[in-house]
Amino acid sequence: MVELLFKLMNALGPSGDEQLVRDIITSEIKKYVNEIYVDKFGNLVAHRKGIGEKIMLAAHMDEIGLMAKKIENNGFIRVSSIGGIEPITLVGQPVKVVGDKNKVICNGVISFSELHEDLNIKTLPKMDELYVDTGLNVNELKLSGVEIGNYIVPLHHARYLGNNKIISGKSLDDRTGCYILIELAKKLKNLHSKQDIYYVFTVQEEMGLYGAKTAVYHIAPDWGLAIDATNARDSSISPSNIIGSGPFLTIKDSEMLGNKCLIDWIKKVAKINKIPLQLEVEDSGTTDAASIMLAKGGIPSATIGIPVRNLHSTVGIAHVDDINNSIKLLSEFLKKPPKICMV
Amino acid sequence: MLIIKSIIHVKNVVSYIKQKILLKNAMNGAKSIKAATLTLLNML
Repeated sequence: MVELLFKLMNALGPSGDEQLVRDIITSEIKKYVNEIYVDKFGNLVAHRKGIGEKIMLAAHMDEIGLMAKKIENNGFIRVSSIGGIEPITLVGQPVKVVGDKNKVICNGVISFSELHEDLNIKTLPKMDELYVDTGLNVNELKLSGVEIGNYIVPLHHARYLGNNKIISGKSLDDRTGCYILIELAKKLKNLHSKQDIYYVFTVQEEMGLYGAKTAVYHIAPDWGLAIDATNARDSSISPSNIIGSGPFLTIKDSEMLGNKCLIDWIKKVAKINKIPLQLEVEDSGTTDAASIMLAKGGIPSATIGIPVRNLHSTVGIAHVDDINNSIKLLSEFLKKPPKICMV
Repeated sequence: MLIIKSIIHVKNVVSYIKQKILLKNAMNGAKSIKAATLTLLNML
């Protein structure tokens, strides 16, 4: 089961350069939909045609990453972050410097002066104190083709941790969502229902929910769902969003309130089918559902997905059962979804 | 999930500037740091 998910997680796809992820999804999903296309912004749209309500299901293809901002005379490459990253999570990470057409130019490691010279680290480094060290000087870097604007992406492969239910790696946010939608399309292929379903694999979510913003405009669905990953809050004495305890359903995040009608419907489906479901009220972070919500005069939307530990890092941790339960919940929900949800 | 670190940063900067302005206002006419602090506490 996780072979495809690991393949998606290992693919490089920082915001604005999602081509490799798009290629994998296209080859996997095309058999299960009636039409597939890439819109002008780069979103991949897979459409299962129907005459019923028009539904948009969105998962984002892009991941957080870095971009070369300045190359110093000693060969250190200063970086700009793509998406929300805590600098401390980058220290000591092996990375690839990527050029045109996703060609890997060279490898490097992320360091800063105290680490470089083995000094006592007194304060946490800021992003502008970090650099990528490839061991090459400025002239050697230029000769090899490194230039400002190159993507810099982590070298981390997906793997199992304690057992074969616990997976770890980069970009669980949101390749798990992409995987869930692919598996859902397979399940719904033979379902005799009328829904007009758009599986939308969005770009540039981590930069500002941009792909969903443009896709929702031309699809104009009756309602939509974002399938995404959220922070597991299971390190405290009063845990929530616990990995392995079921998918989450967002009641509120930092930017939006989920549509109450959709939320109630999803809760009901989970209860009837005995699918574990965790309710989330989150103070930091938001999803493509916030973009869907504000389009075309207001479109009812909500978010479901899986909790992930160490979410915006290369060492995310998630539980396979949460992924399978998300697929089950969505497929049951789409057997008889609401026609329209107002409030 | 989109997590906007820069907005948190901007909020902190705005908060810092507000504190600076409040402190500067409190310092106007105050004879000592202690007096300024008391004025500032009253303002808050």
